[in-house]
Amino acid sequence: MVWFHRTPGVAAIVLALFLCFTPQVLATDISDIGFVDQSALGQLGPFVAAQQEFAQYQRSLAQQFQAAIKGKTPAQQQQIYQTFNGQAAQRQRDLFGPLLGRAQAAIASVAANRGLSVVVDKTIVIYGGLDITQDVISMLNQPGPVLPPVNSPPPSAVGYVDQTQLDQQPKVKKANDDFLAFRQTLAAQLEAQLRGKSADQRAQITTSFNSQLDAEQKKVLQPVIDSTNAAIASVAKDKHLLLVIDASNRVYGGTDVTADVVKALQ
Amino acid sequence: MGTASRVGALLVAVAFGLSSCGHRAGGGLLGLGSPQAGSVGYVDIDAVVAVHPLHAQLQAMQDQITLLQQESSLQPTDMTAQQTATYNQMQNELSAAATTFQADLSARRTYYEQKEAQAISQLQATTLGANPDTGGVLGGLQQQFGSQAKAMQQEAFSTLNNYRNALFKQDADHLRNVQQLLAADVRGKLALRASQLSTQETQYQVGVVKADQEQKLNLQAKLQDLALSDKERAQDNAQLQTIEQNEQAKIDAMKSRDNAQLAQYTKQLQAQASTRYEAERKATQDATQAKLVARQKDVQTQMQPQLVALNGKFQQQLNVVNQKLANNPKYQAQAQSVHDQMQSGYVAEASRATTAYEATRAALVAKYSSIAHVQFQDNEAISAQADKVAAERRDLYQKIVDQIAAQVQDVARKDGFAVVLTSVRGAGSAINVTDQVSKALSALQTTTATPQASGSGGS
Repeated sequence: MVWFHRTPGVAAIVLALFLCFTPQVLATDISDIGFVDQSALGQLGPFVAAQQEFAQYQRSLAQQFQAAIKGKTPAQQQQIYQTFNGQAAQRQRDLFGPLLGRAQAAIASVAANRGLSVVVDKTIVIYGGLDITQDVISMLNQPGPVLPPVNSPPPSAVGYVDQTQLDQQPKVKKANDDFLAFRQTLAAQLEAQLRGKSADQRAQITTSFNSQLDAEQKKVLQPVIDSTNAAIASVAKDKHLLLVIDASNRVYGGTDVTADVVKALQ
Repeated sequence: MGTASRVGALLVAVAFGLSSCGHRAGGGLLGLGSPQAGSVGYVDIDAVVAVHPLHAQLQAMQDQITLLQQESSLQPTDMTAQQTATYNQMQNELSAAATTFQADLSARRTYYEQKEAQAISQLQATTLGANPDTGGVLGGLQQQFGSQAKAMQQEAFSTLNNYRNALFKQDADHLRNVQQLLAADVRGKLALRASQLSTQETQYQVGVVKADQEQKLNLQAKLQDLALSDKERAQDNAQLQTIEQNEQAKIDAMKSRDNAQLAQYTKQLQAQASTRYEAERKATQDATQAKLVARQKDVQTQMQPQLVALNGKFQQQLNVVNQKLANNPKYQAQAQSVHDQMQSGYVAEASRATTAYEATRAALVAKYSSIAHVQFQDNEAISAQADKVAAERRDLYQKIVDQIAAQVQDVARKDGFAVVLTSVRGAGSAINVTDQVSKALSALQTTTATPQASGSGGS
């Protein structure tokens, strides 16, 4: 600072040059953030038809399942359940896979045409951003195949992290498992204590148990949540990102920082 | 301030102005706009909800839901055997009532779905000028595509199957031929070896006889002497017989060795033939399999473009029909009307069925409580009550979130944010507006009414 005060002219020029040659990622153009209303896409004819067909299939499968488990042992029932579940999942993939692929191609195409580096789900946008929902719907309603763009999305200052991968980290997994076990034990105790009690007593007991659950959550889960959040924030800063969202809210583009966060957590 | 300082200040200002070449901020070169112009903000909605005046009400509703959910899983304890039996009987009847109700609802839903599909099909056909009895224009197109694709696949399968059968027949003929050749080869080799052994045996036999010939002739000459005593005659005869027996034994031993050798040789030849046959069979089978895979690939390669073209044609027809329907306001209105009619018909029937079902459950609980002299509870009814409170809570939560979102938008507009996101996992250079929104909301609470839960149960 002393040096800065002594030579303000030089400092200003250096600062000007520095700021002018800042990496492009810092100079994020906020107009490259788009969003799409995925629930609106889900209301389109082909999706509704697929949903109806799947619901019909599920109903028929449920009837078959009920017939199949009659007189079977619990182990056999479990096995039958898995088989039926697998069939349902396969049917779901068959019905929705091509539709989702087409929707994804349309979103990518619109995003590329509009020069967007990231498209997120509408639910996380409170203000601003470019709504491309109607463009995507128009493209989906066009006849013929939807071709995805040839070029990949440009680098984005919006990062995303896949929580399912973070949940597989030993520390996170252990904390989740411990808390789940605690909650199950507590639920069993609560059920036993509620028996034969008046409504007021029940309310009191439930409140007490909720407090215990909160305390355990703070003790077991909160440190993991805090360290994960700190790791994400640190990665965001290191990579000069604006912010990091959950992968489930990212629809297209963005910068995947999951591996960096996993590394930071280790 | 000296001249140098003034120049310095100006340069710093220019530097900041230049810096905007990397940031497309909306505020202009010298920061004439708002402080956050063009930047990205984020808000922690949960944190704002937590300080909202109605948060306590949300929490109370959550506690009520938890309590009801817990209660809905409770079962009566300390019952007599008779009471337990009565309770079980009640559960069975409640369960049967639930099954009947679900089946009834499902049947009503299916009925209305089918009725709607039929009405829409007829409406489409009328709109598109097709025969209303053809089972729907879109369905007809789909059926047509399906049958054409199926015919194409069947033809390809048939061609492939014929090729497979021809290959298998060719292989069978070839292997039969190989088998015959190998058998002939074995037979030839065995005959040659048998002949060689036979020649050796004859030569050996001659040699053995020749070796004893002189002694045998002497003995035979002696036996022709009439003056020979009976004892001497008997001795010579015995000696002659022994010589002949020895000769025969030697010849028999050789024949036995030769037979064993021949048997061993036969076994060896058969094993070799079997190995050769197996190798040939495998090679033939592998070659056939490779040919089949190649042909299958060829068929697929040939069929794929045809299927794609067929699919494209189908999609095009479908899109044309869909577009015609989409661009026809009269059809859209009629289709919506059909849907609304069916929907309201179903909702009315489902509502009546639900009321009747709830009454049935209540009556069953009352009846069995009276029989057992214990007040039983209907866990499903409690669970439904929990769902109702949960829906009310969702409704209130949504209203609170909407109010917060409106506040965020005000803050964003005022401060010139370009985008404000929520559900953010971590922040880099984006600006956190949570506190600002919370403060704005607090100020708002003092002047305007807070949202109220509608109590409608939501959706």
